[in-house]
Amino acid sequence: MKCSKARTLILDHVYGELKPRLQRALQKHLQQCSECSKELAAHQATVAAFSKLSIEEPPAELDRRILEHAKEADFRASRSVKATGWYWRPALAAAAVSVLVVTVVYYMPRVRDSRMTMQESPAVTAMKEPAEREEALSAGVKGDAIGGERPRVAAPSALENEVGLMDERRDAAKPSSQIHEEDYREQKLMYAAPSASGEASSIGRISPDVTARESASSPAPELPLAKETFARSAPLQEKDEAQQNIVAGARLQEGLVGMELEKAAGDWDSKQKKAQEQPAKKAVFSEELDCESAAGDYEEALKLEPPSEHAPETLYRLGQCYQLSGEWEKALSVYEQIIQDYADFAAVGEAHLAAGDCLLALGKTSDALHYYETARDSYPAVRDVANEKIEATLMQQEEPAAETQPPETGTE
Amino acid sequence: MDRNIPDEVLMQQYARGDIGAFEELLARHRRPLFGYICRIVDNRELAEDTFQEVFVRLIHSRARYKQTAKFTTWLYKIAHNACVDALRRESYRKADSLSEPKPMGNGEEMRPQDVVPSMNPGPDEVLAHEQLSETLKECISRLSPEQKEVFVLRQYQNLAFKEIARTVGTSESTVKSRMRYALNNLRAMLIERRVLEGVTL
Repeated sequence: MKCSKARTLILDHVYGELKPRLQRALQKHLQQCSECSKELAAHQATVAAFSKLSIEEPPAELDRRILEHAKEADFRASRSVKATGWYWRPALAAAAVSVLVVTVVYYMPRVRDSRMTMQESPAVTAMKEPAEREEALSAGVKGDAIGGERPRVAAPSALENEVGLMDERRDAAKPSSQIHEEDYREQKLMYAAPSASGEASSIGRISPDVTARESASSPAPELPLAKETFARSAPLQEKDEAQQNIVAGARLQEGLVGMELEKAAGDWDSKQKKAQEQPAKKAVFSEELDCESAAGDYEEALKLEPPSEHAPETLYRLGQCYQLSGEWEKALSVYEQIIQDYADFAAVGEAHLAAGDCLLALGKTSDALHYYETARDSYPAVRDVANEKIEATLMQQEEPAAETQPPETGTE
Repeated sequence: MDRNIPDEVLMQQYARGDIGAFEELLARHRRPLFGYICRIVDNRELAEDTFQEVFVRLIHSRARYKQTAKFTTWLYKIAHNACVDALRRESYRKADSLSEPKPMGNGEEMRPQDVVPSMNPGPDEVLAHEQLSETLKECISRLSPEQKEVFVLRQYQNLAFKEIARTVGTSESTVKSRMRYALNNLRAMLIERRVLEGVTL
């Protein structure tokens, strides 16, 4: 028996995991090898010393809270089973249909009105004759209260185009549909300056790329927003507000566009980060790694243009997803992309290790060792882990008949 | 509840709604699990939060438990994930609170960690056993996160190397390699603190 093999068996022996046949082989080796005997004695002394550590007791209060939570969860589960019992289903279906009908018949015209009024751009309003402008403004103000007629717009085709464009962009920015409601609230102020950036793009002041970023952060017009703006305020205030919006739009056109776009770019980045984190959080919480859908989200995030500063992190997580799904080649190419394109990325050392893991799983041991050695020599933060991996790989090379399973995926 | 019923059977009973089975599982695993979390997060308050979080996650995932998995492996996998999350949150929090130097009355600047008293008790305040415990805890806390986790799971949670590999998501040979490094590092620390006598390896 070689010393490297004996060292792994020594650990099993110290913790009583060794099978009798291997136990005898180890004893035979230990009688001949003083180095391994010393290592065994050292490990036994360390393990004995650490067995004296007293283990902390959790407070009884925590047990009580945990049990309460368990009972509550059980109660909720049993109630939801009863609530969704077959005898309720017809009633629930009828109620759902009624709500749908009321929503469509009563609210939809109002939503359309408020959307039209909200999105009327300052430029469009400015193009109107003074009297017409006043009429359009008051129609916009009253539109919601009357609940019916659409305000007359001086340049309907331009406005329709504008609205259509905005809708298209919103559709293109699919990740925004996954964004939490809070994000809409955060961006309410931005939305209050009606379509200023849309106009700016149409008059060629900003590049289409920047517009795309801005539009990605613009929320889809939601009923609560329109209603908050128009239904809760008094008519005079509404009129003032509408005028202020025009002033705000004009100011944006005069040069404040850049500031808003910076904010939009920030929002876009934070959304992209959320898009990255959301699936990971979901997967961790459920304890069932949903790698496929997480990978899909990361792939979507990487398609956004221009690439965010979080792109290397997104790539790294995408690589982890592929790795966990056992798609070693895909994972390897992602890690290689990080190594090649993002030399400054904080986890490029880890990317080397992960690339090595993939190559190892693909049976390319010498290539894997090359990555581990680069990680060890060039990235001090991962040196210890790289050393461990090199040692483990070399050990496996020595004992090919032993376990040569690919790394565990971790899912149960 | 019969103490001889395996954990896996209890977990299945709980998945079907038997709260008594859950109570038994909690009673069996509360202490070792709390000990593991304390070692990994190295902060009592954070450990208490994480301990609760582990059981909350277990409660919500009860329907997904499959008896093919060993209960302890499953439990410690949940605990491993909860600890990783807790440490990540804690590192963000520390980055906010510890990075700003605080001005002192005499014109000097000190960081919060310089003015917060050490958690290590003095020799006159505690018994020798508690002192030793503190020293051992401090040594464990100085290990790298990977080595610490493997060492704690093997030494205190009594998980086999193969189970540890499944829990932390790596190969058994990597786990053993980490364990060997951990034992060597711990031994060096114990010799430095005169808990063990040095023997040249």
